[in-house]
Amino acid sequence: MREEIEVELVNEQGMHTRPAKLFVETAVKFASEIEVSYDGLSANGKSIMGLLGLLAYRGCRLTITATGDDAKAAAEALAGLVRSGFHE
Amino acid sequence: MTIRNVYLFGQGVVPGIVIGRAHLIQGASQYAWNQRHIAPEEGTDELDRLRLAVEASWQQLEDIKEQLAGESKDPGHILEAHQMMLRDAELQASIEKLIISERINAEWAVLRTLGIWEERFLRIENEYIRERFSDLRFVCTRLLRTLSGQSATEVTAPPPDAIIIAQELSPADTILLGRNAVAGLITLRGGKTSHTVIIAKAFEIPTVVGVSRAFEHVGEGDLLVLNGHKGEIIVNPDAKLVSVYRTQSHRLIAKDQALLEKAHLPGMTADGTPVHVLANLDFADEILKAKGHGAEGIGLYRTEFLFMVHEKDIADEQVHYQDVRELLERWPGGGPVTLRTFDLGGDKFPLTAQLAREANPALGQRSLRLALAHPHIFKAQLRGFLRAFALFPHLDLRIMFPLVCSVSEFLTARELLLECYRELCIEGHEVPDTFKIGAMLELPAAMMIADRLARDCQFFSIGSNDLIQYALAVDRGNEKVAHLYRGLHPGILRMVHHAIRAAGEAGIDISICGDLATEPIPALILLGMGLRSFSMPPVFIPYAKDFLRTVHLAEIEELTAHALTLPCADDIEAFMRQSLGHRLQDTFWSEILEK
Repeated sequence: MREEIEVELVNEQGMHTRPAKLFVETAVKFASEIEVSYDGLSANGKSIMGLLGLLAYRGCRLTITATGDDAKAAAEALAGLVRSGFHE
Repeated sequence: MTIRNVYLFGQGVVPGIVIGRAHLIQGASQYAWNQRHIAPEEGTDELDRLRLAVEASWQQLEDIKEQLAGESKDPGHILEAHQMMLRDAELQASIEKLIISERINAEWAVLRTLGIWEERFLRIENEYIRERFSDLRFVCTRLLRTLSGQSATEVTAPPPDAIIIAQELSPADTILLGRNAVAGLITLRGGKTSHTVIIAKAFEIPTVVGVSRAFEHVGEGDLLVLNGHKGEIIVNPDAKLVSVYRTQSHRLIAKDQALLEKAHLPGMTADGTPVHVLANLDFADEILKAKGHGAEGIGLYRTEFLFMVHEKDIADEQVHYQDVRELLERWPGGGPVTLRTFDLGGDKFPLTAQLAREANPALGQRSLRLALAHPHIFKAQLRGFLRAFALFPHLDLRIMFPLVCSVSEFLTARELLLECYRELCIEGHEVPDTFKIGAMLELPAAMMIADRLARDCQFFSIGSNDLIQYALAVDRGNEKVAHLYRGLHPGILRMVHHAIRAAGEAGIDISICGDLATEPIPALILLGMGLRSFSMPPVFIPYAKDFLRTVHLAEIEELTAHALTLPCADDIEAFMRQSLGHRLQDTFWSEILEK
């Protein structure tokens, strides 16, 4: 299974250390592989350094791609986290 | 030959004078001497070394985190992010790849990796993104230390008289240094690492930041005098200077003891006029210290730090409730407890999420404006406050709004607060209706309409730091104009005088919680104008009370009346200094503040 969702980074600091940490903490709860891409770069959604390396700030549109049995649930959970502004 | 008496300047962020020996803490780049090529057969060993070092470093952070469990100044989420970075598969893969393909040792590979990331991060002109790089640098430095065989405590447990010098200090290092009672801290980077500064304040370690040339002028073991109030460092002071400072520092310690014993006496002048000396606090667990130092109330409880520690719960009412509840549980009563709603923005917290990039943040959407623009976040805080108030109906509880600019703005904020109050009553909370609502006066316009504001406010608190900055158009951090920042400017004194009179006529309390309260000459003039309540960091309270006991109100009123006729800050200062003579010199304040 493969699920792809595009979301906009709405929180002020963009993909900062804490949001990246929260993203990874959510991603590792799922068995699916998670890829996050932005501006031609793509990163492993279970790697904090990968996410930070996207250098994505507020207003950037990220594509979250989950591949695996729980792909749909994973992509939706992660997209929800990003949309909520990481609960900031 | 050693060069004597080299003066270095930075920004003093935690006051106090200390003499000690320099202890340099290395940043990542200083581990470069360790780098070497390895033989092909060493590759596997090197990978093992790396893995062990990663796990050992991870465990060090875990230990620090455990030590901190339950403390309200717990920056646990940052330490957890650092742990996650240490174990990050991509970071490890990048280091491992360099070890094998370039045949270099683990230290070198860590440094190379850091360099690669640095290039990526620092290309971007965005403060938040640069902040992220600091986190990676903290993590890599820890890894390099472990690889070099330094234990976690070797670095952060220097001898007791050590004055630490570092490029920047991670929150984890600052906590360990604070626990190990180092004498002082100096960092080369400026005040932007606010977590570190706040931790240093909580541990009361005299600290100077932004001493950019410290490594050029200071060697390991050099004798240093650090003046955390003036932001001054003297490298290799001569015997005469050392003895001057040593005497001062000894006198301070002896006087400290004597004064602490008298700290519980009520604040008053020599003729018996009561003067309330209150505390400014950042953390709930400082309240016992404040009481021990003789605080007769809490004049300012800052709530911004919660937004840094609990970033993810920024809108969470429960966090505010818990924090205020912890504060009030520890307060034995007697005297007001004044909570200031969040005062974020401007230059203070580059890490917080609220800040949109503004061309001129000091004049932008900060403080109360930010709160009113985000009513759900603001209301969560207000509801949290009020729910905690319900548990302590017998206390003198107060809520104040910062940076109030107009009557209508104050009324808007007050209406939001009352809306929260009504909601909570309907929900069944028994919130007492005795709490007071007041305004911080820190804008010149607010000072000038103090008489009109006094009809709606139940108390005032003068925030002199912002007031002086806005009234004189001076950024204290800008060294080209910092000398123009003068609390004794007659324009400032007239505004303050107007506000004190307005409060008096309306019969409401007025207090001051800015730095002006801790400077003897301005404080006396304010006393002469009729101010009877001063709020300051707890460490100043015993000295302020002691000093007040040496002055007679009638004399101070006379001096103040004359001072207000003088044209310039310099004239006022010279006049007061001459009139007060030795009494001024005998105060601890002048020892810290004067040359």
